[in-house]
Amino acid sequence: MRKPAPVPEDESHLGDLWNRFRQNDEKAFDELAKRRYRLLFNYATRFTKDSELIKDCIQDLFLELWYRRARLTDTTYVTVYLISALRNNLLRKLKVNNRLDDSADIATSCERFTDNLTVETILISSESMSQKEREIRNAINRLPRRQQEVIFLKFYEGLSNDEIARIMEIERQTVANFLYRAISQLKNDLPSISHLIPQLFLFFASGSIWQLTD
Amino acid sequence: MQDYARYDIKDFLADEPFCRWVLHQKPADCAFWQNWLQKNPDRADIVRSARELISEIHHAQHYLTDEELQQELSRLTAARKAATEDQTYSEPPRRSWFGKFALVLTALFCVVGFWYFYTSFSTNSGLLKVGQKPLKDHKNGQWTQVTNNQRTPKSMLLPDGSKVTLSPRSRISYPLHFEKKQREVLLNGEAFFDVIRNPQSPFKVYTSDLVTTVLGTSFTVKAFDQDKDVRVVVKTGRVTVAATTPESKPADSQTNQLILRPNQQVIYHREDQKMKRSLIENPLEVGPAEVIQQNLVFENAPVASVFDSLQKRYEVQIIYDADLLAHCQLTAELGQEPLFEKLGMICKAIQARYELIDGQIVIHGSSCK
Repeated sequence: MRKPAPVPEDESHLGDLWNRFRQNDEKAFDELAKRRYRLLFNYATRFTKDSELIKDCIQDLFLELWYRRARLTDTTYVTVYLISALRNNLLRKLKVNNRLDDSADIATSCERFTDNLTVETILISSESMSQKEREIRNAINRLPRRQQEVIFLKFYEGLSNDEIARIMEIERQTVANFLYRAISQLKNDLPSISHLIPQLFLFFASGSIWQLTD
Repeated sequence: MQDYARYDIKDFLADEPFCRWVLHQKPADCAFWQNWLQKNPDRADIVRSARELISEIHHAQHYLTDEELQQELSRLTAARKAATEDQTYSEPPRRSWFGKFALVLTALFCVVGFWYFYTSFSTNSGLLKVGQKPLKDHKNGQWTQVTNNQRTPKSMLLPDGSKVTLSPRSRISYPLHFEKKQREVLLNGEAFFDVIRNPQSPFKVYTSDLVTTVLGTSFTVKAFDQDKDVRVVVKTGRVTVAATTPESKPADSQTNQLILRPNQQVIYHREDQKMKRSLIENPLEVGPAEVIQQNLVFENAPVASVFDSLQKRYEVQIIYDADLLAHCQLTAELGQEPLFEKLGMICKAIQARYELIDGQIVIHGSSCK
């Protein structure tokens, strides 16, 4: 069993870096980018599989922050701020490029529109990924985009439903619903985890935490 | 308290405290779950599966290789550096035409305003004419003006601690508090500046024709209104001089901007608006006094090493053909005589001559075989 890797708890340090970078500290800025680049990149793959576009978006985001450093305000949760900012930029850019289609399967729409290397082709030979993780990745990529986003924020970054709601600008309850539907879908798609959910009646018995609203 | 004993794997996946425990492993959560598992050993399997699944979902969303990450971070750092230089150095040249026009207009208003003020109220009217470029923040902060009407130079300190020696018949204006991003002063006449180093806040001296920008160094600016040319002379450090004339086209901004090293000066001819870089008449040695006082002694030394020592002492650039002069040797003791005298002696010894081109010394010689 792969030991769960803890998501680093460096948010308070990040706030410190944020404040130093606002006062022209170049090292703090570089460090901030270093600590959150991976998260932002992986998050952006929920919107597009065009890795060059993602890299440009993140580069633009950080440079814009650097230019506007004197005018930035104090923020208690830097990660949520960065994710929200990148989200806005991505959505704007993808709208312009007409690549984003909420209803369609995101993977096929990207194949249609982009000639660039996609994140999939780059990582195809990656050895760090087990067969099961590959299955899970494929299953996640088959989910509707916003469910993918919730799954990412929840299980990659470990954000709370409140924080996810703030980033996606939706109700907290909607986050819970997305999450519920996504997990159910994953269960159906992944035969290997189905057997782990044998006592379905327990779910109905405990039933209080799921509220099905469509 | 949730009834975790009845949870299935989906419930655990959706449970916030459970996810927090798996992903963040905070001590408080760890204590709670270890305790809970001890009390509910029959649920250990399902908890283990849920943890494993969360972890796998976490890992399944890694899309960036380490090499790509490094590459992108270096790209970002490079772009950030370029952006910083852009902001500190090329802001004046990058002003739009409209901005320039606005500046010229403001300048006109200021000149007219000052002139009116002087002719109406000042007792020493007509002594000095104000022809400076106005600064952006004239409206925000209070400005102080110091005029030296004595016959001897006058020393003073600026708000940032930089020293100014103001020559007779000269005037300097500066804000009571410098801006964070730049330190701007207006000069009419001549002054020597010894500027406190601050890379975050370039120091700019505006005169009617030139703007001189430094980070921290010492230099003289001589810009009397009645003179035909304006002069900037560098003692230590590096100085950037740019023409501020509105007539200079944006395309010319490259040619109208020079970087000066110690012992170099730039002379700006007001008539044809051209800048010329040269060495000052008597270059001075740069460095601590005890080093300067030592004579340079050479015994059968390659002439290249002699030139190297002079380059370091005076921080001037000497250009010579190293291959051609490879066999030239020199025995000499160089003391306190002026640089050009030293150069004359050396050239005589190796049958060469020197020429001054664009603030550099060029040696023309022949092989000493």
